[in-house]
Amino acid sequence: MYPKSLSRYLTLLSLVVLALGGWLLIQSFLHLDYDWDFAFLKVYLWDSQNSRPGLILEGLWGTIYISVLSIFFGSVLGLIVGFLMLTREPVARSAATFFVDVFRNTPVLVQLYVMYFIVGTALSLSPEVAGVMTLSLFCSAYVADIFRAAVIEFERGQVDAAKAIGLNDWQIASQIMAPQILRRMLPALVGQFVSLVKDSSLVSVISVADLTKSALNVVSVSFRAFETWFVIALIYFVLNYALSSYGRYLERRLRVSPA
Amino acid sequence: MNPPSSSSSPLVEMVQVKKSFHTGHGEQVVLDHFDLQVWPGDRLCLIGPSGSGKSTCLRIINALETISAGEVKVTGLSYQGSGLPVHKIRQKTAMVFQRFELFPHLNALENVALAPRLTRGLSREAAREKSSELLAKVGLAAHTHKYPAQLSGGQQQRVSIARALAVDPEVLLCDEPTSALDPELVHEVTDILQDLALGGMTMLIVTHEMSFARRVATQCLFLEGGKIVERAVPDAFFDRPKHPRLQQFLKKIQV
Repeated sequence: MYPKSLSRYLTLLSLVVLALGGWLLIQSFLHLDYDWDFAFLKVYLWDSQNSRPGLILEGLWGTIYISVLSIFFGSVLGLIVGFLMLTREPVARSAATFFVDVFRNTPVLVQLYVMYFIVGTALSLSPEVAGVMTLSLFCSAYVADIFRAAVIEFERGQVDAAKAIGLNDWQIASQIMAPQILRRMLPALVGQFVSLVKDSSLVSVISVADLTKSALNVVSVSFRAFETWFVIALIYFVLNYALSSYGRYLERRLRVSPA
Repeated sequence: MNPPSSSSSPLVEMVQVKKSFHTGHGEQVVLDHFDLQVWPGDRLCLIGPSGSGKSTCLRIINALETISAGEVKVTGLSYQGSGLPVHKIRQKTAMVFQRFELFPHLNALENVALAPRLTRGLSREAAREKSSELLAKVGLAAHTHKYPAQLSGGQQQRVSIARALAVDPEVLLCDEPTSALDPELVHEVTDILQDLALGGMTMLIVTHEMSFARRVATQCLFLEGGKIVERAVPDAFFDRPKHPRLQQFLKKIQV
């Protein structure tokens, strides 16, 4: 595809960038007068005295729990909002579009504050419920737009062909459109879910016991911020890497047409 | 193929059909006071310049386009007045598209088996059996498990013909079935359609393949400006065209 010489330059360039990055990192660490100690984290991962997960693993469970719930509710709501964005009925369509615009164009942090301190106070919501509600709404705005784009891009010709062989509207939607649209949405959806897992760290500000909140607690008693945050970042990486690998696997398996 | 008794009424009847679009510049009329009857065993080739309303005429017959005025009946059932759901009437016809329009997420067999299973209530097994037979008939017995993306254009169009035949249509509508094919693949598709014609299938074909039209048509229709301006048997149509526009058209494409 590329001329051979160009691909050789690209290899060289990548190696140079990697080397530079590595050198910068090593130099920074060498200049830092800091006594690294990761061993103290063991007890926060696994509390062997009581044979139960430590603070960090409990936080990880919190993050998984909140993310899974938010992804589930966000997807269901997102499909509904997406459908509304596609209707001809002007009021429903404008309302859905406005909803998506509001949640996509404001910081999640502010959404969380509003949901917990204002709506939450009025309805006496727990931090967990307020957190899941905010993340679900936030996620649904993105899912709705991904869905809308996938439906709009769907080829008219296939719908005509399905009509021409006498399928009714429900059969066209369920047998022809849905399988292809879901597959086409998958890459964008997985990307959205990965960023939701990361964004879920914000619920720590309304004191939900997630991974980030655990890290804050560990740092406040150990005063070892560097080690703690590195390990927390690693855990987020593993979690999201697993999620996106699974997404890529699904994408390969469900490819619309195996060319 | 069609019992003589059914020839007492037309399979397709278009009465004073008008089709127009509203564009930025006003109303654009595609078909105007358009009358057409298709009887069992008819094989009509619609010929004419682009924009003359050929494809629109076909798409109106299976209600892919709505009409602005007039009435369309298929096997005596009117889209406008019978109260039947559109897809029920549509099941009397089938269509072959210029760009094949196969379902890319289904393999050849599944593409063909879908309609018999969903609209004819055939069991999964019966539908598959019928579909394999049809695919064998169009010469694709060895390709039943391939996906559209793995087939050539000619093969894809043959799958789409099998898919159309799977609904046992009373009328087969073909909208420029060879226009998207490489020249050397055209005969793959015209041969199949010619076999169908010999088998007595009622067909309405929009085509630019004049030699094909001459071979299969019982009558050729020349459309211009949304009207049928000449209708004749192929020999008269091509050798002794009457209307000056048709004479001009034939002269142009012969160069």
